[in-house]
Amino acid sequence: MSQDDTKNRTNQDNSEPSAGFATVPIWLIMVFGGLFYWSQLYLNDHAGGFDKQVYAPYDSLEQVVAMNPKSAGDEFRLMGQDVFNKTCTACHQPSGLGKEGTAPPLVGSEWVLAPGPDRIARIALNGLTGPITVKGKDWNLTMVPWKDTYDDKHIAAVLTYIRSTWGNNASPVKPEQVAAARKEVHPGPMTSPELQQIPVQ
Amino acid sequence: MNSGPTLFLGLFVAMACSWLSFVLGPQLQIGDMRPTTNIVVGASGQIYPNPEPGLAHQGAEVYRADGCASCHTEQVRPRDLGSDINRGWGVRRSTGYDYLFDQPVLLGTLRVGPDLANAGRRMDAAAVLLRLYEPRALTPGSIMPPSPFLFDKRKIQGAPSPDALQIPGPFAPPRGYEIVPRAEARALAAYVTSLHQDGYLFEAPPPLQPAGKTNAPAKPATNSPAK
Repeated sequence: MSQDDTKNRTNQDNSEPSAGFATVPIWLIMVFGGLFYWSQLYLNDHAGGFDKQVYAPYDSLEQVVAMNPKSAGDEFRLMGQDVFNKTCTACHQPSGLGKEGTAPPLVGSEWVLAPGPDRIARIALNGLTGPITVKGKDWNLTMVPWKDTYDDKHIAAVLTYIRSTWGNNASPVKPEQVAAARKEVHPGPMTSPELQQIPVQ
Repeated sequence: MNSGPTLFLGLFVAMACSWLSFVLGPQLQIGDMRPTTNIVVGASGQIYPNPEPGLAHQGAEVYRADGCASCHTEQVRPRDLGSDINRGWGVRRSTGYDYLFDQPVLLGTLRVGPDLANAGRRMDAAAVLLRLYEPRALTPGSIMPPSPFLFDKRKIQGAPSPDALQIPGPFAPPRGYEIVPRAEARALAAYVTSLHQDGYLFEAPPPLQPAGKTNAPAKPATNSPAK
């Protein structure tokens, strides 16, 4: 023990405690360095280039662009899908296959796939009641009208969607065609014989 | 040894780092965010989000004060992460746009109750009020605490109040009494019914059913080579 220490002890009131330094092991520094490097790589891979338009689960702006509708037709079908998922799936099912005792199928239905949309548009607008044959099977149910819920554009969009999804491959429907069908005011739901009288273009 | 300067420098660097990354960084990145017109579905010319009405704005304060955010979140997670969308809590994930007019943003951290990001799509004001007064009236077994302090129990004088709650079964007030929501309850109900994260945005596009693709039932998994 040196003389200085003894001196310090005698006037402890004035002295401050001092801390020494212990050397950090070099392997610990290397582990932290490795972790830091990995975390930066992870950030680089998963941060979407710090683009504010890129949210999970996308990793880059290109992926977001690819997921967005590329054409006006795509956008129109998306609008139809939105209407379909909100309104039609309850009875016609998300698969469009319909359900026994609830609603006939849309997939492969000759009513949906008719060359022109005049009949199907009237069904969507005015509803349908009474016996009807779909794909060789007899149904006798009632569908409510949607003319007061959706405008021509939305009806046309959902008709376009059901005519072009699940293997259905019919021409898109234009809002003007729905508007023309809407002009013929029909009291109450349509029936199958009434629809048969409408020419399929 | 005088370590004041070192201590100051250390604290300064620590504070500066967090300020740079949690305040300045986000400000530079999304500080200029404005309501968007880039809505994928639902017609062009629309703007999202729209400011909530005044009563809902007051209701947000009630929501804060009563600690609703302790048990309810207001964020929908992406499709691949959790089951929020499958549960019907929203149609798309939440984005920064959904919170543009929120001050403060009431995201919540714990989901004791269901997510409320789209509560306005699921409930009307009457359902919200009934749930506030007695959650078990609509959802048997609910663990949400009732908030009777948001309501007045009054003796019916003359005609019953048109605002009185229609309470079913065992939770109904005694004969001759009615339960009437206070102003706070009405504001809170207006706030909850104003919650909806609408429209698919460019940042959160919808999954489109591919055109013309068949939806034949999935074939059972097999190891035989594709034909």
